Amino acid sequence: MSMIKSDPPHPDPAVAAEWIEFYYQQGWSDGLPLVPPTEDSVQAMLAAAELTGDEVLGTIDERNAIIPAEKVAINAVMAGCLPEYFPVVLAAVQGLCHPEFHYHNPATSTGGSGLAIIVNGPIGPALGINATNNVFGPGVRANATIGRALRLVMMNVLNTRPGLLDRATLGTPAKYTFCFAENEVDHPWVPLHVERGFRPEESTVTLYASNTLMGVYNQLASTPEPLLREFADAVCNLATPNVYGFNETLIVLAGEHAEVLRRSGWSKRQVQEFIVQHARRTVADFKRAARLPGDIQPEDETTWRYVLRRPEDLLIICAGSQGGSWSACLPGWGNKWTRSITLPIRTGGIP
Amino acid sequence: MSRRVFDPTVSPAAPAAFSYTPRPKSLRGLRVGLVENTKFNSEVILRKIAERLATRYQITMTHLDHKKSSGHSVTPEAIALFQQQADFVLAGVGD
Repeated sequence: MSMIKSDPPHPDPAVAAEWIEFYYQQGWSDGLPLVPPTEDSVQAMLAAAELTGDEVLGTIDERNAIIPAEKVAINAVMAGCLPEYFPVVLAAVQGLCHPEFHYHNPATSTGGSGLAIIVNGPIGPALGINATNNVFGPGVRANATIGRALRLVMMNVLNTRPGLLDRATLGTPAKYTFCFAENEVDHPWVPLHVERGFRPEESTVTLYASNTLMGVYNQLASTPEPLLREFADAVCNLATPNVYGFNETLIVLAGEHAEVLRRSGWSKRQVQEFIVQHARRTVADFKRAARLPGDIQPEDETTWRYVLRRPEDLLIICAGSQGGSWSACLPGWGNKWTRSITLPIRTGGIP
Repeated sequence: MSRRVFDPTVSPAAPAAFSYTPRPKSLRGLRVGLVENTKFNSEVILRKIAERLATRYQITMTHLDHKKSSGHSVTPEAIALFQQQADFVLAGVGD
């Protein structure tokens, strides 16, 4: 038997295991072990955001629900967050309550979206939120626990539980956790939060309801056009729910693809416009796949439907490692009334 | 030694008190309102039901409300209109 000599913080691991099992039995877990909260750990979480436990962070009217700060702190502790992560969790929770995000739609739908927390600004590197290698994968506490805390809040505070108010047909592994930072160092343009009107030195959370994550591979493109045609093809995939032209799509540029665009001198706006113009299908395509009703008429072969309406409906960010010919396309959850929300991360209580 | 258990859940707030409208003795000649929720075929199904109600019970469809999306609540303005113009309301999904 292998054994590592250590100086554990608790003399008896069996006691911790009993607490973990107790929390399982209450039905409060996402399926993984929870960290049992203590008075000190909950207070430390609240103190990191200068909050008291009885403050209300927001409401979800369709759920007849309020979100007290103490409950968010408890769930953040259970998720494994450090106190310094709490302002990020807090901004994400406030995003849930934003009227334009319209929580009840993406949280309840059979479409089963994962809510991506995209972190911008200096807080990302300061907290060690991964923005580079294996950015969507495991191994980094900040990414794993911040995203998990949001989902636990959804389950425990907003009753978004599978089979109850989460009616997803399939769900997604991104429902366990989905948090990452934008790589603002290796970037051809300004990062997302600056594009949306924040200063570079401000830190923000963008909350985005994503239906799935599609890898985009291209090892040969050395100029923008062929690369962006491939992105456009991913954006207008017939299998995604948002192909009628009323939604957002997120593209995560990584490695060599970001470098191709940097070298080209194309602006982000040019890239957005190119993809919007090329992410289209004919009405006949939609009808052949029964995504539109009716028989195919001759004019359907030359009548185009665009997936996105405006360049700003295409969110483009940089993340992932420098090496490799991979990027990602994350179609939006698929309803015109749900928009991604960017909010500042604050440590000084509720604005 | 006892230790405090931190409950992470919140129970939904109690809804405001309400009472059900008395059920009519007969459907004949009543007025129906429809709430369409933007789902594909929602309006088609609701209108078809309204047609059958008209045929069987001479029920008149007085108002069709289009919700902002399936996840949005019916607006207070629409509810006020239904209170004035309908004896009962049908809502459907239609996915």
